[in-house]
Amino acid sequence: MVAAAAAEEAHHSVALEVGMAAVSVGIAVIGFLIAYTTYAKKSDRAERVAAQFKGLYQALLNKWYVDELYDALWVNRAKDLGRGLWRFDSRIVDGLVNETAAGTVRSAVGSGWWDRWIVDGLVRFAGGFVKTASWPIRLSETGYTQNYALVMIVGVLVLVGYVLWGTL
Amino acid sequence: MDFFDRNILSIITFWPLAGMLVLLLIPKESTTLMKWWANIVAVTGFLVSLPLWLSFNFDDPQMQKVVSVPWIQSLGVNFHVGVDGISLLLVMLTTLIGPLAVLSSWDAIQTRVKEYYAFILLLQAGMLGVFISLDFFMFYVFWEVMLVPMYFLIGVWGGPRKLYAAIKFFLYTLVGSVLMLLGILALYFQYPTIAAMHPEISSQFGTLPTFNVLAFHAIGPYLSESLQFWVFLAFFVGFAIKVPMFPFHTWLPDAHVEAPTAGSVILAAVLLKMGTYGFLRFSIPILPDATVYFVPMMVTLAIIAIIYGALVAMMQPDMKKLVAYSSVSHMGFVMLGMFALNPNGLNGSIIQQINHGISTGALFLIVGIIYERRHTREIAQLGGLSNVMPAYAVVFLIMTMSSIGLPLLNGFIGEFTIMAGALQKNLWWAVAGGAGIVLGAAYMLWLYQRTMFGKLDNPANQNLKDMNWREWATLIPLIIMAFWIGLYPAPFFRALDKPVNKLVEIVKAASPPDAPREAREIR
Repeated sequence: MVAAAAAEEAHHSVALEVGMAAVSVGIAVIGFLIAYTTYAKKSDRAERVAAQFKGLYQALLNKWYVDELYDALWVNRAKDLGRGLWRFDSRIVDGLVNETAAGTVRSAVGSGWWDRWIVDGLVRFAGGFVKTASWPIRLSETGYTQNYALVMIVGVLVLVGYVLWGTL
Repeated sequence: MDFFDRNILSIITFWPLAGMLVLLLIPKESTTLMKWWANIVAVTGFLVSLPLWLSFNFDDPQMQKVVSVPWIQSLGVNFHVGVDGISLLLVMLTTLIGPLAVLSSWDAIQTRVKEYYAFILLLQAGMLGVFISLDFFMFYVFWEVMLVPMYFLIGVWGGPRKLYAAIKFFLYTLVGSVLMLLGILALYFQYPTIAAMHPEISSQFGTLPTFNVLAFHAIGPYLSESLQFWVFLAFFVGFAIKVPMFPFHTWLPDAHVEAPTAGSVILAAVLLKMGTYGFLRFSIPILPDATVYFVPMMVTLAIIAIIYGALVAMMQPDMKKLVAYSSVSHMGFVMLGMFALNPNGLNGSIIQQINHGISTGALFLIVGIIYERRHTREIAQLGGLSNVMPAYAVVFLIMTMSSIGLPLLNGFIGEFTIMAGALQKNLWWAVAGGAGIVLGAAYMLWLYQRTMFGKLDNPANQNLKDMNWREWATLIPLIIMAFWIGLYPAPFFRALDKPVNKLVEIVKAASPPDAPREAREIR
């Protein structure tokens, strides 16, 4: 401040300029002495002053909390946004991709079921139906020549019997 | 020599493939021989690509080193290759990153060594094929071929959730590329109709359906707006997933975190560029009206990616995931510059693609180095590492600065040019981009502070070894590139000058959208 004011007034007078310079050097020397007596000599002044102006001391110590403000306003908000978008990316954007895959698998399972039970089911039903319906006939179809011969003989006997019955 | 010069693109592309076939013949026990062989193939692959850069004519706006041989004639498919300045830079980036990725695997990969190096070399061939293809069918083949080795690299040599990540990567990309294929087929069947009406096109490219990308460029301005609209959307899905653009980016953090270091490096440095390359090579020149129409959508998604990616990156507890999300943000920059659609924006976009390859590739190598020593990537586990690994700390710092965009390093050139392009279009685009740069500095510096500075209080970190010669060798080329582009980017801009102007002219003819279509000339 002092230096700036001195610069502003520079063209007014040399005396003022020198005076201002002297004042600013004086202030600097006073500051130096205060610092020297506070910190270089063993003294509890630093602690006392800090305790007395606690708020100011803390604010100065933390550089007026500019970093914290900056973090709260921008840095952490950007991180939140990043985290949120990441969640969005893995749940929604990638979720849709995985859902498409899962949907494909589901429809594959569905069409597998359909194929097994409906399409192939009809085929097997046709076979099964014929199989079931043919059961009584199949009983006679044993494949043994003796059986067929027996049935033939029985048939011949029945026929012969019928004819004979008519003539009697 | 003449044969070499004429077929240089094919030689560059199939060099790693030939190397892979020889690798397969090496006996299973000779793992050291395999490693040496893979490294030799990768390094010579880079050396073979140098003549391409040296013999490239920077003043020629046409495709160069073009070779076209019929492949499947009944379908109109040709083996058709060629490069312009854009693909030249991406080819060079690929051949540069390849050997670094291979070398970085020396100690990290101990199981199934032969398969590992075979897949990396195959991947290299696939990526190179993508950048040199001038036939859309061929492009699609390479685009898909490249998926397979990457799938195995993540799925076999990856982290704890490798299968999830590998399958997600594969299916996600495949969904996009199938839609892209529909777009390709729409152009394929549309071509004869338009060629029939324009003799100057049919005389050059014939009247039959074709996959010739140059033919598609020729018919682009005559495609109806509705067709352009739908094909653009189809391409968009394919390329946006690859870039990746918001909201198609979630495969990326998973793939990056689970992939082995070399996989992450290649993924970030080269694979993502295939998406942006797709926009540059196909969407913009073939579909100029739709490009102009979709600018608001593209720019919005790009800006979301920049800021969103940066914020999400900031909160990641895992170093690798942080770098992965930073990729989302950086690729947002690339897309922002691209869809500014002016020379600055496009130049910056392409330069930034190269820069991202360099700095993010390097960052993944850096994360890999610490992971090999500590088997963790958790930021909270690290801290104070600059005390035990000073050289590592320096390299990490350089690459952090490069990623942030500090002047004298490559990132600055790219970001500055993109910002200039964005500013010419719209002040707010540049403002949003600027916010992204600030956030980028925030997450990178914070990461650096938490890992490198502070107290070395974790006992596990106290005896870490600094980088060995092999790790230096993987990073030095990238440091050189970072400074080269940062100090003297002129050769790179010179390579881009002609192709970028061509793109700008095409788009200019398309906007404003209500200009009479007949007035347009064919380019």
